Amino acid sequence: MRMEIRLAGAGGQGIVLASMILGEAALLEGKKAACFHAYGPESRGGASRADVIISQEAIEYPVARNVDLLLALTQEACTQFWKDLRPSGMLIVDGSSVPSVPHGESAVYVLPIVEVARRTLGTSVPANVVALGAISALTGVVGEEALEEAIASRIRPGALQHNLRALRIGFELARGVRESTPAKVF
Amino acid sequence: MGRVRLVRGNVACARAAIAAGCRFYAGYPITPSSEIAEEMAALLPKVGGVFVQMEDEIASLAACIGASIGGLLAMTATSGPGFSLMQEHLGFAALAEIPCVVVDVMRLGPSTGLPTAPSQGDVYQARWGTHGDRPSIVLAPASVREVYDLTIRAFQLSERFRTPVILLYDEVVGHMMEPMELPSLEGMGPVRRANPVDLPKDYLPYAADEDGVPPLVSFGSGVRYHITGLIHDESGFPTQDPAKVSSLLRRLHEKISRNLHEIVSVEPFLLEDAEVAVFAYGIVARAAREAVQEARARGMRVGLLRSSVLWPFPEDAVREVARTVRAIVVAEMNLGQMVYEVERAAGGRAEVVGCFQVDGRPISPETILDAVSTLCAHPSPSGKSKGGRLKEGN
Repeated sequence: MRMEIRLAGAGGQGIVLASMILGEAALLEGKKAACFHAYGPESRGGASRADVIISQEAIEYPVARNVDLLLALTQEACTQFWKDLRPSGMLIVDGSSVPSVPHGESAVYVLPIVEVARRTLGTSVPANVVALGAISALTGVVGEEALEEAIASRIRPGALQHNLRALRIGFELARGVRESTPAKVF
Repeated sequence: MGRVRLVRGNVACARAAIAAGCRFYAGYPITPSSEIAEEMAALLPKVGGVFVQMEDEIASLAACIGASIGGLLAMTATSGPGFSLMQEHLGFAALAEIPCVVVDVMRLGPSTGLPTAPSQGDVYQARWGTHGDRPSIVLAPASVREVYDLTIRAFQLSERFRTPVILLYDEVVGHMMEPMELPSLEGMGPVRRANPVDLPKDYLPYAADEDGVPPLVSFGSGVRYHITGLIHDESGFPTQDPAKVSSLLRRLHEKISRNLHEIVSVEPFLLEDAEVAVFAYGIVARAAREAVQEARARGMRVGLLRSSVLWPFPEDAVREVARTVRAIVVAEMNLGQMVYEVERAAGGRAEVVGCFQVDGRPISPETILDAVSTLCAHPSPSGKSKGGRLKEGN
């Protein structure tokens, strides 16, 4: 089964790095994975988008078009890519960055990703990794252990503990929500 | 060997160049090719090579040509705007028969265009961009693994035929990441091109062997000779003698056209019983492969001919396909380039229909599926013996 995940936000939020970690965690679990990145011509800021395709079978076309899971860290990303989400898909948005959440058939999770990163870690920088923890807890598309290993191979040693903490915070954030809102997607 | 990781197409290109023995890179970074320069800048000093960031793309290829004739395998990478600037020196390298590899990661043009959007608009430029009549070798990978393999192949063909080889792929192939195990750089050091042994005393730099390719002796290795962008005779000095002029130009063509079997490469997929074939290359071939599988699942007899070498054009393979199918859909991210080659090779034996898209997004499998479904649902009433005029589907 092919799963299409789109991570979207602004340049500088670590969208591309998060997609690499997610894809490599899937590889560690013996699945197939591919990533595709799209961004505007700006050197900083601007829209940034990463598609991660995870599948048990060989991946022919590495670009998402019936998105199963959309993570939106900006309003722009949410508004632009909402239409690519399949009707029974899942939308995860950062509460403080996406004030206007679209309504539809998809399961919607509004999580304080950036705020919690800032409050507990003192910076919004690892919000991308907090989001990965939330994705894992809500969907089970990749496990915590594989994510930890993938993070360890992509993040420099000095920042590793910080990011592993961010991952756990993401897990806890989503676990609390999941109990009240059963996911119907995966 | 390291473990399997997600590797970017452009990074695979740089790593393959190092593995192929490339020890000189001169370039001017440009999206969507910049990761190649970034990677080469980091790696070349570790293996005894040289990286130079040049003032522009004209100088970049000039530096590569100089390094190559000095004995190093050389590469540069760019995108459309820079590729335009390289055309003059591509012609020089072709005439002076100096090997080098030029990577063009295609973005949507013309001009500055859409710097971060994919395109296949440079297919004809890669063939005809430089002035004068000369052949061209252009390779078009469709996956990260194939970027790696064809980069190595580009160096081999460039050395084998003493000609610039162009590696041409779109932004999606350059920026996508797929699992791959990259070989370690351990044990890699300086590499120089080996000179031919037993050179005759009256060495003529442009006297070709039977296969049309003169043996290459690096400058500064003991043999003095002349290199020029003027038409020259076997001694390398200019000539206007009509017989010699014609002989040189014909030899430049024939060293490629007589050795097509060493260069051309196609990948047929489910074509045996197909009534409609898709012709595609680069990332579009990946979308086409998925479209073909979906069409098969819906009972349509559809196949795919993917070419990983655009020039020389795989004429024989396309002619064979045209003999057995009713129609060929050519899917490309331009408004029709390869489609004219396909139509020429098909020679009226099959209807040739274009499936073009130039909106900055890669062509999706659904778009190609729509194009083949239309043809499968409405067979040409005149039958396959009468090829239709070129038209754009959808």
